[in-house]
Amino acid sequence: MSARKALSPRAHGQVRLPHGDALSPLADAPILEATALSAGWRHGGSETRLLQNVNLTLRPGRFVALVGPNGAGKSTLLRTLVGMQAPLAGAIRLRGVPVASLSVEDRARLAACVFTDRFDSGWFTVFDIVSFGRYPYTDARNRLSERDRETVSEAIRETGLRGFESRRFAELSDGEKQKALTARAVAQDAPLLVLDEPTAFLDAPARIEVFHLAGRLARSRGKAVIVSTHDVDLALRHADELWVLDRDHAFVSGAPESMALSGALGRAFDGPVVRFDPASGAFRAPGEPVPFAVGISGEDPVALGWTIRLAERLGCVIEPEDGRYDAMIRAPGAGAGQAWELEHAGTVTRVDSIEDLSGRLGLLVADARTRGEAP
Amino acid sequence: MTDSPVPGFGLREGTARRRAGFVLLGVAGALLFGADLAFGSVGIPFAEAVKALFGAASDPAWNDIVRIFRLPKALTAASAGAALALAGLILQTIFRNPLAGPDSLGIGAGASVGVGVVVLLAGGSSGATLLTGLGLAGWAGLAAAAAVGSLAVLLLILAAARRVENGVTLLIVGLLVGYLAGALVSLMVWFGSPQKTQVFLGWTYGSFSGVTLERLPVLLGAVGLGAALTGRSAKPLDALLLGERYAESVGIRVRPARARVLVAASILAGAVTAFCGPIAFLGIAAPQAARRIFRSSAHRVLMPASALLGAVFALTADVVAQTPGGGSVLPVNPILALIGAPIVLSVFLRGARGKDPA
Repeated sequence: MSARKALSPRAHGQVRLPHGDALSPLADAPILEATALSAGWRHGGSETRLLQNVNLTLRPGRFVALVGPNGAGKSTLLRTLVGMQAPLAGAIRLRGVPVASLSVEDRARLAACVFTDRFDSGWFTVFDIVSFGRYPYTDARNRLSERDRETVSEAIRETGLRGFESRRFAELSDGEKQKALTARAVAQDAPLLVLDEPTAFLDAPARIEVFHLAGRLARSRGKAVIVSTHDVDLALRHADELWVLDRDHAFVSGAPESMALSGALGRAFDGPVVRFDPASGAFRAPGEPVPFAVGISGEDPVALGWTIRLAERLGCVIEPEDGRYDAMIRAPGAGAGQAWELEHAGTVTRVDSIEDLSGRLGLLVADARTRGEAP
Repeated sequence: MTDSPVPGFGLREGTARRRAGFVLLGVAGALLFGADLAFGSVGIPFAEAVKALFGAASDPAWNDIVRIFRLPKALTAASAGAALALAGLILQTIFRNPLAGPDSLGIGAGASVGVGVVVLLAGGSSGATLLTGLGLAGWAGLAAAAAVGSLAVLLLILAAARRVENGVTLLIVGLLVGYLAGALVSLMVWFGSPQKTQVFLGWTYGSFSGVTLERLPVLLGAVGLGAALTGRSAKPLDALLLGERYAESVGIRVRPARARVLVAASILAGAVTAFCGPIAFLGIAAPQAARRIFRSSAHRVLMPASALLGAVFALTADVVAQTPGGGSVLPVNPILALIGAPIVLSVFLRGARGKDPA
């Protein structure tokens, strides 16, 4: 009982401002610290180091996204941080206590995890699955106290699954399953929440919901949340901080915007075909450059934006520095009759839809491409 | 902090259904137990058979028949059925495979090797009297040898399970390990003396009638020990359904928990195999039927339910084996296959359709 009280986050339940600016300095003490951490696999005498000399600190109320290409060691880092895999070197502290010295039960009270592991949930209901989160607190017969039930119900509410309690887990959609598993981790009442690729099997709205939920748990519950993900654009928009692992297993961390501006994301992900475009915060696969330059203008920013995207998709060079245009496009204004003007070789053509514009511009680009290849 | 009297976990809905299920199974078990006492080469009226238990039957010969022969047989059938069902439940959870069972994973075959070593290779010169003349300590040794054989196969399968994720592949591994154990047994039979071999072959048919009143405590003791070890493991077993990583992340020490239930399964399957021979299908079918009837995946429900169903299946098989009347008694294995194979088949087909949970 005493251990339970000491470790319960409620014992530290301060009112806090967004982004973990706690009123009490004590409550802002790091939940997770790693110093000079090396992680990887040890087989026999040899070691495979996936990560070297990682230093990180995570405070309550912070939502961190861990990004990096496949094989960079994201899952290894997460498993090592929560003590499920021994580090090759360095120290990890959970709430100031070396993780290696914690019992399995104490670790469960400090860090709750959601994995990508699939399992046959049989007849278990959503309530059953979420109540697995109470395991570190229940007795050997796993009886749920009133407080346990309340915590379970609260976690179910928090993740927006109210009314799903007695539904069978197996019958849920992938997005609902992810929410239920997250609720299970919330019910575990641990100050650190680790979600390993929670968006892997989800459709676009469900992905955003996951990030939204992770952010809310950090801000309203004061949890430290780590989400590993391939959705870099969502991570850039939602996370307080980005942890970036690159192909060479180097670790960098900082504000999402700074990771984009400093080129850290580019270094982590850029390959021969796909590049991270810091201007748009998205990945691009720029095709062969086409010697066809366009200038685009327009008053309505939305129409202008999509017109630029069309030109980019077709492979045009946009706004060349030498100022020589092969064509000019005027996107329609907000109130105007929804018509685009395409000026090429001295003639102006009015097209009524972006669909039409796409067809005409496409022909011009194809023409320029064949002429470019001819000599 | 008030502990609510009703356990909430895994018991949210259908409490009435579960209560009715346990009552019905209990009544069915009791009736079948009585029938097992009444049926046989000498037919005894049901009421008289029950009276004979207390030495109060109208025919004194019936008292002896029931108390010396049929009571041990019925108790053996009930406890063997319960034990195999529990072992099957454990294996299905640990291997996360609804088709795992003592026989499908080759664990019964492992027990056979243990028994074969004792019966065919060890022992004195008097092979024919080996099983019949074995003392209580000898029977305990036999059960222990069978349990060790089971555990050896289990550890082998567990090592294989770490390499193969696919459940069906695991069953094929179990099949191959079973062949391997069968080959060892065949070789031992080849080199054993004819008398010993005959005793051993008789054992392989599977029967509940070989356990006398004196030996019964050894079987019941082993089954009780296995059941006690299992009963204390409901919590970790539930967590292991989610996989080892989830189990560890909610504070379960996976290795000791798994070791405990695997030892329990070996004792349960090994002891039953030592005393009754290899019994097919019960271990797979009973937990399956328990899940279906009780609509639960929680081990606190499935353990008593599987054990009860196992006992009911075994008693049914034993009763059916007696009914042809006259002196001939059918072997129980084909009868269990007739009950069990359709259950397992339906589970397999439902699983393939992705409909109900297994």
